[in-house]
Amino acid sequence: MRNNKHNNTLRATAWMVSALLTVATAGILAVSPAAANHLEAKMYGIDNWDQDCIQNSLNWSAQVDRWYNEIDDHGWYHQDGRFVDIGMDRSPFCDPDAASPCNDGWRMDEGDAVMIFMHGSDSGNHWRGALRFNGGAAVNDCWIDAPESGTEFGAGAELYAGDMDMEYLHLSSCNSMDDDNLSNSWRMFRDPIDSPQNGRRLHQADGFHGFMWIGSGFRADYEDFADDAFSVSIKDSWMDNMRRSNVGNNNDDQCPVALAVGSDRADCFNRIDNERYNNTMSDPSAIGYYCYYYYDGCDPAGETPFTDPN
Amino acid sequence: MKITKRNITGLVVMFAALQLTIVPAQSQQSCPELHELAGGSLPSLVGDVDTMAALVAVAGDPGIAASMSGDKKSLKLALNAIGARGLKASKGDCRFDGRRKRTDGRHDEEAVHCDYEARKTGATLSIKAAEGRLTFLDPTRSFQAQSDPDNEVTDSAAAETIRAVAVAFGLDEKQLDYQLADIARVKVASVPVSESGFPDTAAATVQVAEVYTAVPRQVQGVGVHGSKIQASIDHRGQVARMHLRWPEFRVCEGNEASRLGPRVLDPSKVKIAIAEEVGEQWACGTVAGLRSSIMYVPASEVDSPGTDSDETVNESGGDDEGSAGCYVPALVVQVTGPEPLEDSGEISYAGAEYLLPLLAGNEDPDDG
Repeated sequence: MRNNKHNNTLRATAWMVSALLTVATAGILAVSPAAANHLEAKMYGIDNWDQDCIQNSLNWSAQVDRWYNEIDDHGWYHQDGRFVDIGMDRSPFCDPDAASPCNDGWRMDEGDAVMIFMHGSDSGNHWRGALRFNGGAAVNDCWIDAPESGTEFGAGAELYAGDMDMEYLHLSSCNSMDDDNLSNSWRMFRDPIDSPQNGRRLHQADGFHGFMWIGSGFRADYEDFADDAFSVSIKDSWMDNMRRSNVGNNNDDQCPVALAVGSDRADCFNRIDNERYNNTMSDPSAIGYYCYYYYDGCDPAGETPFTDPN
Repeated sequence: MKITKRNITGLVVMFAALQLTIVPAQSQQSCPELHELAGGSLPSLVGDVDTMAALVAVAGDPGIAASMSGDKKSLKLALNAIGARGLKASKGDCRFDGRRKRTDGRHDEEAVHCDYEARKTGATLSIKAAEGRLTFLDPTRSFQAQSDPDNEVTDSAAAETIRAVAVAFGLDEKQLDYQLADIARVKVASVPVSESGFPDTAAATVQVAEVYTAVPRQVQGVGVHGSKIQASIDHRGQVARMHLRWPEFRVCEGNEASRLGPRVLDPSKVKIAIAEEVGEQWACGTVAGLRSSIMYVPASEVDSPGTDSDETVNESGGDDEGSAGCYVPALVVQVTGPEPLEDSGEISYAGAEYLLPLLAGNEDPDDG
């Protein structure tokens, strides 16, 4: 009798716990970041170049954090990964069709809006970013290289974005959108092998012509960029918030550039003029045009004044 | 010499003393070129007590906190100047610091953060009056490259527009530093391309989209770090977007001119501070350009002696969260690395900015 009563109590308790768990689970699902903020924001970059690939170190993440901490405040994106210093070899950034071992599909390209921050370089006709680790003796690569004509299909290009998931790639890096490289920048918007099959392509990439700047006085720009891009186009927000003048000992500019692709001219303009973080169109069905916004004559350190390459 | 316990103790003490004198000397002299650059960049007024006394004696200014803190009439006039219509704050979208009722029954609020939206256009206005921040964004005025004509707004028209807007928003016109105004044209280009091939640059198009205008703030000829009015002007001459960072300006308490003398840092100490701060992050030989200028800087952003470079008093990066705080005269140091040859593949170091004290013990008293 006593045992029965005990069993009944246990059953009642179990039922109540089960009911509570069901209600709690439903509640959790209702407010789950993954459900409410279904898009993924990620940041990848380097503060300390103190390992295989030695360079000057800067407190870069402090300003990218401001973007990362703002973008999830609007009900569309959740924070899906803040990767600083650790594991910063080429693997998270490079495409397995381009080199090996590469894992961008489950790392960088798995995010919807991604900001990469690292020292950059103007190499030939493309941007390349300075890594912290060389990937081991077999890889021995301190750079992640964007594509240009002649380096594709295993000939050196490594970075292709959007063929897995990414829509928006922000490059907080010097020379990431140099004027003379723009006729090749569109190439990183697709994987030449996978994109024609799966139809997935990057929508927009934002970067800098010449040198960009780091410092506590620049941090609010990154927060404002994320904030404004829910009200006006991502392009407008990037161009407004990243422009600076009269910096450095030559009174230099900081020169943002925004680049998009489209199946045709109208599609390209429609995307770059109207895509916001909360207004993302379907992936471009093909790349028949690229289009870009820039500051005419913008004169940064590390480059000549911006001249349209066409 | 016979080695005894007493001698060893003496040697240890001597060695320790040498360490104390040699280590700092090594760190200061390990990169003479950096010291040379630091010394060469120093404004001649650094260390001048009279100059510092004059800098801390300037009068304060309420910034936009005065004109944008709940005074609907002022706000309406200002919004008329940018042609903003239909902006409404939803209930609960305006959060106030205090809700003291005045004798006429109206609230004498000091608005912390108000968000307005025009449902018809999607235009937004965000006012963080206590932080001196105001952002106006009208997506219907953004350039539409497919349909809009070239922007033919002239430099002088753009300059006049931003001046009129600044006055309408209650800025003290004397604080607009027109000498450092930035007027630039935003252009858009389009290029046909074959996905597997090459761009047809001969068929490219270029249009003038907007005119960007920014004017930084100065007080008595000295720049106010991070404070500016900025507007993007559309092809109709309207303000499409505006960013106003114009917080209350006041020099931090405890910096009275009469008590300043002993706290004014000597130029040689400032030079060493630059070399140490920059040298922590820039390897010897990698600094190609270094500029130092005296500005008013929020005290919370000035690098405190002994902290890591580029880490401010508020390590969370929340340097402009909440109250903008007070200002101190400080040294803004901007550093660039060598400029690589075009296409060379050599590293480009990002430019870096450091905010260094000119007065000993200038921590923001508001930060407790």
